[in-house]
Amino acid sequence: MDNHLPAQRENFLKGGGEMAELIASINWAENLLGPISGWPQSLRTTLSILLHSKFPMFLFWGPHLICFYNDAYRPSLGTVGKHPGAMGSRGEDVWPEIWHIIKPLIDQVLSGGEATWSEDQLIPIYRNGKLEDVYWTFSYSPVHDETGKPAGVFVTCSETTQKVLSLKQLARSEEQFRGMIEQAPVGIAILSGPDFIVESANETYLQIVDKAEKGFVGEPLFAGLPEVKESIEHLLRNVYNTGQSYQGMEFEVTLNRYGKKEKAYFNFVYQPMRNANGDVSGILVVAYDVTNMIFAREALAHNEQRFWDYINASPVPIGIYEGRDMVIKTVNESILRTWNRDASVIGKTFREALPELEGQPFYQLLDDVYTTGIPYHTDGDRVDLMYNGVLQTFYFNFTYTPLKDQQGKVYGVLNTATDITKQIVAQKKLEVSEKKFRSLVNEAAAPTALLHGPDYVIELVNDAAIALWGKDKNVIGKPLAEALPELASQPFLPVLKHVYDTGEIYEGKENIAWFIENGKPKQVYLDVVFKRLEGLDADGSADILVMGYNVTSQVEARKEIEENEYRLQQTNQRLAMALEAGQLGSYDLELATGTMQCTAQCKANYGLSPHAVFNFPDLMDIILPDDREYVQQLVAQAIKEHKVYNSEYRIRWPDGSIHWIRASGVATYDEAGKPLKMAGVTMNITTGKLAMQRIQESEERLNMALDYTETGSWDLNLANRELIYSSRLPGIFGYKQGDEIDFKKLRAHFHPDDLHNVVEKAFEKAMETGIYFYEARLLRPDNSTRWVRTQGRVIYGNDGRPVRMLGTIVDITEARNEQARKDEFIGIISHELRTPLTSIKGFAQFLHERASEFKDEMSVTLLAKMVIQVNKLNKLIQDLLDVTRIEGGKLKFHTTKFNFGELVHEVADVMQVTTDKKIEINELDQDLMVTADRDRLGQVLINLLTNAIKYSPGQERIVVMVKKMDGQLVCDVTDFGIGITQENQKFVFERFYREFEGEANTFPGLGLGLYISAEIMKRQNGKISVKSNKGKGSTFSFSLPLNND
Amino acid sequence: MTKKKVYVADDDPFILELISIILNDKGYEVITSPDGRSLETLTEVPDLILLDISMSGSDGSEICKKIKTNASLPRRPVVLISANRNIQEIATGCGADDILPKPFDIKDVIALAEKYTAAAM
Repeated sequence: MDNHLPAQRENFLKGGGEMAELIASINWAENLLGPISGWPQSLRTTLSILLHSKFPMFLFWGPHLICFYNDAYRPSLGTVGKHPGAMGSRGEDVWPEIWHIIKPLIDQVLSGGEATWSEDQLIPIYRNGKLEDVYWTFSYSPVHDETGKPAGVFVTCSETTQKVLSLKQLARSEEQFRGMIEQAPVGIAILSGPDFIVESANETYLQIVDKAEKGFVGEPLFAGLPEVKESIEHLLRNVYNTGQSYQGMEFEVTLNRYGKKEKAYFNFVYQPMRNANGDVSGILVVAYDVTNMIFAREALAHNEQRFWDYINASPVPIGIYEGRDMVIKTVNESILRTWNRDASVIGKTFREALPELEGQPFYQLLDDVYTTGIPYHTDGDRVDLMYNGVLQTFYFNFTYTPLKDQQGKVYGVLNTATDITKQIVAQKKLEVSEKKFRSLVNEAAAPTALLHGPDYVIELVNDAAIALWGKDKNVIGKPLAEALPELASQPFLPVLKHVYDTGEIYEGKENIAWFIENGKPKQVYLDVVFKRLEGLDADGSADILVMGYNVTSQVEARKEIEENEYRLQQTNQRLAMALEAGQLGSYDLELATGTMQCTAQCKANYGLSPHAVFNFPDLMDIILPDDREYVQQLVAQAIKEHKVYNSEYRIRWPDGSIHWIRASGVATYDEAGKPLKMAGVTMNITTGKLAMQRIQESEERLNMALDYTETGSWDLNLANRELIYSSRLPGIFGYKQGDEIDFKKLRAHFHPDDLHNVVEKAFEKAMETGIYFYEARLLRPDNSTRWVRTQGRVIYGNDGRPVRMLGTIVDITEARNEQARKDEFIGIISHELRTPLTSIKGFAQFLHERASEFKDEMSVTLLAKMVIQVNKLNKLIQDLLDVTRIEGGKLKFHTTKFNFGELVHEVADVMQVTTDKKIEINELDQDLMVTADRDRLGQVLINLLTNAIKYSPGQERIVVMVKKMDGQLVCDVTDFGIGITQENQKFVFERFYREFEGEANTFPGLGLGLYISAEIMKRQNGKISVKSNKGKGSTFSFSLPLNND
Repeated sequence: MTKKKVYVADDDPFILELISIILNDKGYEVITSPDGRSLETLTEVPDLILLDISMSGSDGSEICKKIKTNASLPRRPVVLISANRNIQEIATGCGADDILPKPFDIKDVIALAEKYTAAAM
């Protein structure tokens, strides 16, 4: 026990706190360490440091690793556990649970001498009645004893359990936070820096903006969402710059998301995030997509509005009353109209609003519905309402429907009603309209019938229908099939059944129908309407109104047109065939590419086989160089001016031969006016062209000849009066070559007297005969008068109509002057000749008479012959005079009315004197009267008889026949002489024509008789003609209009 | 019995001679003139006047017109003679009673003389 007391006095324990007291109290004698007095100085010093330190310290000392610790360390041993037993105990006994951990550390320190350091090491220890996870930061360092060897391990430690656990908790809560953020139903994103780099964004946020994490997170916000930059960048910037958070409610942005651009609405917060320095380093974005909510709200509002609109607009009167008193909550305009009240009734009770219903059952009915919850419905109830101060009667269908709250308790009544006053009134009017309908049917212009029931009994039918059917009034009351049995084989009855069953209207256009009328079928085209009438009759069957418009004539007219169109089409096809036969090739040129589609004939025209590849450049290649540019120009021009392209050009075939092609085409254009294609035809015109060349050559020769003879040639297009003329022609009209002249201008130069009488008449005649001839005067620009002779012929088109006229014109002024001088000369001569002839003839006749008196037979005969010869001579002179008069247009006529038969006899008598042939007169019609120049007709007869005598040598008779034919007088003079060849017959009426027979046998005469006769007949509106057979004789005939007076 | 007097004017002396022979032979007294001017100075008025139309220096139709329009002259038949085809028109124009176209037959001359002097006989 003495060990105990001295311990109290040990210095190193003084002021060592509670643990020093504990050390002092321990009976160290019984301890492995022995009494304190025996402790080495190194232990004492170490304990002194340990006990006086406020930092938790522990010491393992000696071979048994006896444990010491200070007051600061004690809490780590817990409240119930190792303390105070640990003090002075063996380390192995104190720390069994961790001995396996710390023993190696202790050994390491004791053997190696190096101190250890462990931080936040989990070293679970038993304390507070249980094994606790305790975290330590500690250092084991050796304590050397007096021998300089490590004798103990000094442990400085602090329990970091609290720190570690709070760190762990922090980490866990952070993880939870992230998880929460991650899974939050709101969008959360962290934006950092002034560029608002998306640091992180949760699933919801990505979903809201419809982005994948990759490519969005880690990038500036507006790189991913450029569409919202305008609307939110300034907000973010403001938060970032000011540090003030921003909250947005139902903020509208436009987002490109879910594959479209759409409006979205967000509630969101921008919360600034600060760094350690308190500066804003980023922004926390919390956003909630309220788009659907807003849409839903809008839709709801819309629906609600619609509901109210519907109620208000509803033609059905609607009212809602609440409470037992039936306070009017809602009414629409329709019910107000029905009540004849205004909106001021809202808020009043039903009874206040409609006091006039007192005494009627409605208050009670409403109350019953309210109290029982059973709806009330009625049809056609009578209601008396105040209208403009007057109580009036109305009829309603109405319903009282109880309104129940969620508990099923009635809180009001919904009242709907229909004013059927009008229907009831209308029903009464129906009977009247039924009558009107019947009269309408009867009076309808279109065939109309009313068929009743499924058997289509003819209830009503108008006259037009009866006429169409070819029946009578007896059809009324009969089923249609019985009244018109012919319908059985026609399609109308099934159609009627369909209309009857379904109520669909049937309208048929141009239906062929046929009816039996008087036992004969007649076919018509009808536009028909079958309509089932609304409503059923009392017997439950329906009526069908049947109307048919007879369109037969229209249809037939149209069919005729269609037929004609068909024929036209046929004609067109034939035309196409004709084109084919005409060896027309056709092509289709793609202008952009130069690609050509050519028909086989087209290729043949170019000397190619049907399969040869042939495009526009190929065409250009084979066109002769001289023609190429010209063709290109024409094509370009036609395209540019939207005109038809026409050209003729020469090509070289693969075999080297040269051919002429005529080509034409028309371009097509797109809507913008850009030319796309040119399509057209080609024709090989080489043959015609060569012929044309030959014609041109011969024409040139002709023109040379014409020029030489001072004859102008011309070619007049009759359609447009275009005149083509040779170089000589202008001079004839007094123009210089190169002066501007045309048909109209030239025409104005004809002498006014001749233009109508000569030129135009000649033209008319040319249109009839094809031959154009006249001689007329021109007044030249220099006022000189010239005579021209025009000769030409008409050229006809394929359709036989005159197309052109071509011919020559020659100045005959000189010739004519020559003629005039000649005529004058002849005139003078004949006059001068005739004067002596008159006296010769007179003397001869006088002598002839004297000789007769003196019976001098010889003188009589000779003087008679002399008179005849003088007469002949006189006639020749007379003919010459007549011809000159005809030529000069001076032949005069003295018309009288006379008996033609008498003239014939007179002339025949005179002529009979001169011939031995018998002149026979065959007067088939007597006393034919004509109005003409008697002497001139006599002259014609004399001429014809003279010829008949002259050209029938050896024949014994001449026959003169006079007859009436087709209102004309006809006189034939027939001889049986030499006749005239067919060829010469057309010349016999020409001037100076004489018939020859062989060289030796010529006939005397000037050849003027028939010419003069023809002129005479012409001038008296008569005609003269000849029929003759060579060697058999001739018949000359002339005819004149008979005078019927 | 006085002979009927026929006045003939023609510038062709052979015609004058021919007509004279023909009519003298038939018992007429013929007074001839180459131009018809002597007609105005005649002491006795002829029964028939024959006038050629175109005579050198005078026109028978003008003389005829004078005879027919001058009331102081006794009314006498006038016949125009001519080779002109238009003799009928000219005769109508100057009021002549008849025509004798050349060349004529002698019987025509006799017939005319007889016709126009018959009333005078």
